Amino acid sequence: MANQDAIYLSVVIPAYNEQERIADTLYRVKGYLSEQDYKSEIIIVDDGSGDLTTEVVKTIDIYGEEMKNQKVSTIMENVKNVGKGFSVARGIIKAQGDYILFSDADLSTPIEEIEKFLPVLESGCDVVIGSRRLTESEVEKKPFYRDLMSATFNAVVSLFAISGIRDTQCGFKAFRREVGHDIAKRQRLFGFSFDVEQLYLANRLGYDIKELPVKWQHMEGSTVSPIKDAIKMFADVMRIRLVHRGLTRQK
Amino acid sequence: MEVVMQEYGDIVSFKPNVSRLDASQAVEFKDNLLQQVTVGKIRLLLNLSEVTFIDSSGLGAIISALRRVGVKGDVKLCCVADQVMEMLRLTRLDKVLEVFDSEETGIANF
Repeated sequence: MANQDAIYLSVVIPAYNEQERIADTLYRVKGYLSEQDYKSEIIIVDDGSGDLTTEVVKTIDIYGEEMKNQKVSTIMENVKNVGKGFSVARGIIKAQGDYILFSDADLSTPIEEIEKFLPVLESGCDVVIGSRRLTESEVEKKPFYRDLMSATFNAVVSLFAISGIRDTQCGFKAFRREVGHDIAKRQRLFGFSFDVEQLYLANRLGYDIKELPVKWQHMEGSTVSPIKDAIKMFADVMRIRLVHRGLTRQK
Repeated sequence: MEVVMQEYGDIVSFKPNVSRLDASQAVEFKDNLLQQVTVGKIRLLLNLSEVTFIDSSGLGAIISALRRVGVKGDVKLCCVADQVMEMLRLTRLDKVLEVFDSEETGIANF
């Protein structure tokens, strides 16, 4: 288990116009982490939100600090909306924990699922990713178009980028710190396909990737546009190979 | 910052005469509130009728007062503008801080 003085787990949460749900997310994550016997940190990366996301985060930090003696989060604000991938990479590079979890702001996968991941990371695995497509995954039915998009995209990824992974897009992934930093610093795609790029990089660099079944619940408020985003994601998968040609193994 | 204070028994109503309760005013506002707590006034009604904008600093001042009054005291709000109510809702502090339409109702509900 963890050295009591060092940060054991960093939780990176990218947020863009999340004023309506970031409070519930942050209360829940802070509540969960404050009950653990290890030291942790939360890094919120606001991707140039035009709403009150950052103000809500700051207020909840003050509330947690004053009323519950909780440590405040680190808030990083992008000066403009760059993309989820950029925000995740920025948060990971900033993270100091032995292990770094990236989680979507909607907590589609509950924070408690990290308990499955930590023993695997501690045993030496480099990258552990949540999966909605394994037999033991507990997935609430998704809207039809998202299910279709997800299946098609995973097939394209498997064919052109990285094979053997059933679900590249689940917003719940964890890294050993050095591995997370290495991958994040090499990221070049900052849109929704960043997950594929991260896994492509991990694979090409020789890092171990373990896919674990997770609970997943569909949350309203998704900004995915089925046709436009599908085309863009396909183009991104092709770009990943091009951008990272000549990559050599690190491990 | 001009503040209008009025005592109703052991309750103190506290009305800041500023339109923006942000970082530029929050420290003074907080000092004023905590000064009351220091002299034993732990039932505070904040009349925010002049405040049309509040940010995390302003809410932070109120949260600090809430902590300092302890379990025996309380902090309640009244005459809250839409933007302030929205911030309370988004931060879920509307479940922690009671809000009343008027100072009279607020006093009556302590």
